[in-house]
Amino acid sequence: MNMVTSITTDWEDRGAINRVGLWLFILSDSFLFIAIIFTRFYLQGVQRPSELNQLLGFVISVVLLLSSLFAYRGETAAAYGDIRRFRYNILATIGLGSLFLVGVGVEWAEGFRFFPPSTGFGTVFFTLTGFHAFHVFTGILGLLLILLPGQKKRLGEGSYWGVEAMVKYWHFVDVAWVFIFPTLYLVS
Amino acid sequence: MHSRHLEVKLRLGFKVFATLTALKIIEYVVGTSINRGAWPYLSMMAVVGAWAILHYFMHIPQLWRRKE
Amino acid sequence: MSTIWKLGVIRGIVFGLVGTVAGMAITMLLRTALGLSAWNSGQATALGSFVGLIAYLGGLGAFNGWVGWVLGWPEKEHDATELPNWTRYFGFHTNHKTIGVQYMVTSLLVIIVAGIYQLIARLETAQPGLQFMTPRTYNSLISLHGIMMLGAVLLGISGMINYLVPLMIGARDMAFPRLNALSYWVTPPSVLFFLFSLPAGGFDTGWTAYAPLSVRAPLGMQFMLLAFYLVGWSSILGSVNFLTTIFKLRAPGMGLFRMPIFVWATLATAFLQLIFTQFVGIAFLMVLLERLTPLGFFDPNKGGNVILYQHLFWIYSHPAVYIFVLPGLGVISEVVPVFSRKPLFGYRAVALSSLGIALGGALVWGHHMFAAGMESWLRIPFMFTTLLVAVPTGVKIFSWLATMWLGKIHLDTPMLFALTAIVVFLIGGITGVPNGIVPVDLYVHDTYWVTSHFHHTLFGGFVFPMMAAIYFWFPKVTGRLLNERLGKVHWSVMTAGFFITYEPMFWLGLNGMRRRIVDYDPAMGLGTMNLVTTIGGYLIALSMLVFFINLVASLWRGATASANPWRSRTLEWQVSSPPPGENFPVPPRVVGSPYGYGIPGSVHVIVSPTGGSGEKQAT
Ligand SMILES: [Cu+2]
Repeated sequence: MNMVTSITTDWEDRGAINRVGLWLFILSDSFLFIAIIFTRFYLQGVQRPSELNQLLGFVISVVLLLSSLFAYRGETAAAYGDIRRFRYNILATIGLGSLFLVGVGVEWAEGFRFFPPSTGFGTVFFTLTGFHAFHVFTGILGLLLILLPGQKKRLGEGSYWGVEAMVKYWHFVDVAWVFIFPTLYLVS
Repeated sequence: MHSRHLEVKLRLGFKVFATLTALKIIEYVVGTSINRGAWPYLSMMAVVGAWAILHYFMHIPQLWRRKE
Repeated sequence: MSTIWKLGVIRGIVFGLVGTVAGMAITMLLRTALGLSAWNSGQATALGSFVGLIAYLGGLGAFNGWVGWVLGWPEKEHDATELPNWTRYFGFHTNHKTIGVQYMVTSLLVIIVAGIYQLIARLETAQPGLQFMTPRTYNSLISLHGIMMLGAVLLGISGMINYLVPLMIGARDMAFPRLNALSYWVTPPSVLFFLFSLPAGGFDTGWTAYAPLSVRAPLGMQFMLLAFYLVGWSSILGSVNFLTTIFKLRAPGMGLFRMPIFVWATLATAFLQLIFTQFVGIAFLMVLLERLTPLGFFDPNKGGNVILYQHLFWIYSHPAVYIFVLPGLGVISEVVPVFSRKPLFGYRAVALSSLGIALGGALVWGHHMFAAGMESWLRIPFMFTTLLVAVPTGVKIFSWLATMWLGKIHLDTPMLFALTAIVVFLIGGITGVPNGIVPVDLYVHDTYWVTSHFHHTLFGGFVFPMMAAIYFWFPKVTGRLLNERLGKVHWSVMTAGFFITYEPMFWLGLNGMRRRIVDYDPAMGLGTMNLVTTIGGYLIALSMLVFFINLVASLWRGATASANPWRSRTLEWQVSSPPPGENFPVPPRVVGSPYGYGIPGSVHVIVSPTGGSGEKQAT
């Protein structure tokens, strides 16, 4: 029996195949967030405790947007084979992503005091930010992986699928936050 | 020639980011000043922002376009 | 010894055990550090299962390919192992045909266990009065029967899709072979969790795991939630693979409207899996979180709402019915034209009806909640959408009838099972209409009427078609024919057993027999029919015994199958039985419809001589 470990289809472009798979995964994952956002409105309507720090929410939103910009620059640089610029930009993305997580941590500390997880708003707040923070965390891990030396060789050969995949995932996490921020912090 | 393309694309990234930040500021102002019935504006802005990221940063048209 | 160590599954088990112990130890250390009592069975088993799962996958070798890719190791050419052929079923192998068989065998094993659970429970309800069972044991058995059967169905359709779709569209393998193997290999631990549930106290919620009961049920509940959560992820990752494969790996000339109906059904099913499985995943996760942490999704004292669970659960679990039945209906559409020697009637309408069912089925979940205290203004819209789904389903039924009309019908075992499936599915569909009408539903809700209705849809939409599929494609998979005489015995006993079991259940339901009760009042006069139902259930079990004897005996010394014993036109029959490892060394060229039976000069596909048996196409 002749096992095929990786299919090399001579009549199809491997990158395009991977891309379709990634987009499908993102589509599926977005329904996770849709389900939790639905939960927020179903349980709490548009209620929001006055102790919620809207300004901090705004600041970390901008931080995440900025990280997305650097991720975009990193991918574009990788596409043009500019490895130095790629590395700086991805490092900046990782730094800003970590800063975002710190911001969420501050929010959580405040949340535990004013709307703990055993209350109505606390339940949806901690669930929604928790699932999102988990995505940010995995995104950071993924970005660290593409900085490993193993990928450098591939970039030199002009194939940057790993970078593209992780950066797309990162942008997706940002898109999710674009909806989560008004859902939690702004509607009333 | 090659690197000039790169610069153009990087500048496009800045423009998109500036737009998104502006949108976010408007969102924040709307969300903090309007106490009732702000959700249609907020959801509209969220959709526009998400579209910008999907289109410019995530290159969603790659899926149905043949080659760049 | 070293040979055994080379079996992925052995390494997986050892690593998994170590990981489980480590995970439990971490939980105890954390709790001690936080100043709590060290042992909390729920948290320890949850984290233990999680760490154990990751370790098991690592031991299995599931991550080797990706780790190598990330670190930039050179790609291995072929793992040219000297191990015997059968060992590939016990390791992390990426060929879609291997994985299809793995899924199918696992599915059948789960069906046996879940069936035995129900056979035991049925003995209790055969007579009024409590004979030998506590209510909790009874409820645990029927709950596990339900949820494990659904898991088995998900495995079964993945098995069929994995084996058939790449062959049918002329691809060499799935789009993501490693991901495909991973999707399969998370299911054995999930089966194990299902089996742990009963010793861990079982659970008394029914398969639906409604809150708040599921929040308070014993530890067995948690194992069930974890198990189905894993199956759910397997199903999501599988659907990514199926969709990408169908979108990107079709052979030259295989336009969308030249695909076999089974592939269309896969497309619709995979979309449903991709999107809606997330909802049941989050619902189960919320129950887990409410059990293990202070969060309160369903407890009104904490700002929760129990109806939320039902919404999230049914947003998945209604479309799930279509996930279960669409591939089965696809199988019927494959089998009927072959054994009628006529083109499939209304190909385009049938192809699109799968998508129609998927789309419509996405908007009907509320019909499960008419009696649950759901927002009452939602009742009428959900009633409407529910009744609407009957339309695309009807398209399929009429297509099969019209295909058989004036055809040269050959009554081989696959066709017999397909015919039973059509009848049973039709009864299931018709009895579903009254359930969808609010006033009737309020009366029959939670009675045996409903139980019988969905067993008709699942037997008609999955079990009988799966049997048809096994009898139809067994020669392709194994190179041997199943015994026709045993097959016909299997078919007749199973069909009779089915009707004896489930038709009395309609009567029972209408006469007041409730679901999920261990005992009923003798004065209601339900004893006789309950006894008949139990006897029917054992007849089905008997037929399954015949079936397994047939499988083993035919595998051992069945007649050798030619490449195309049923004279079918679809692509998988144009290569040898079993197909070569790479399916098609040269991509086949598709030039026409797959169902042109009896039409002179009609050709579906041209397979180059190096790519297969070189046999002529049947007409
Ligand atoms: Cu339903």
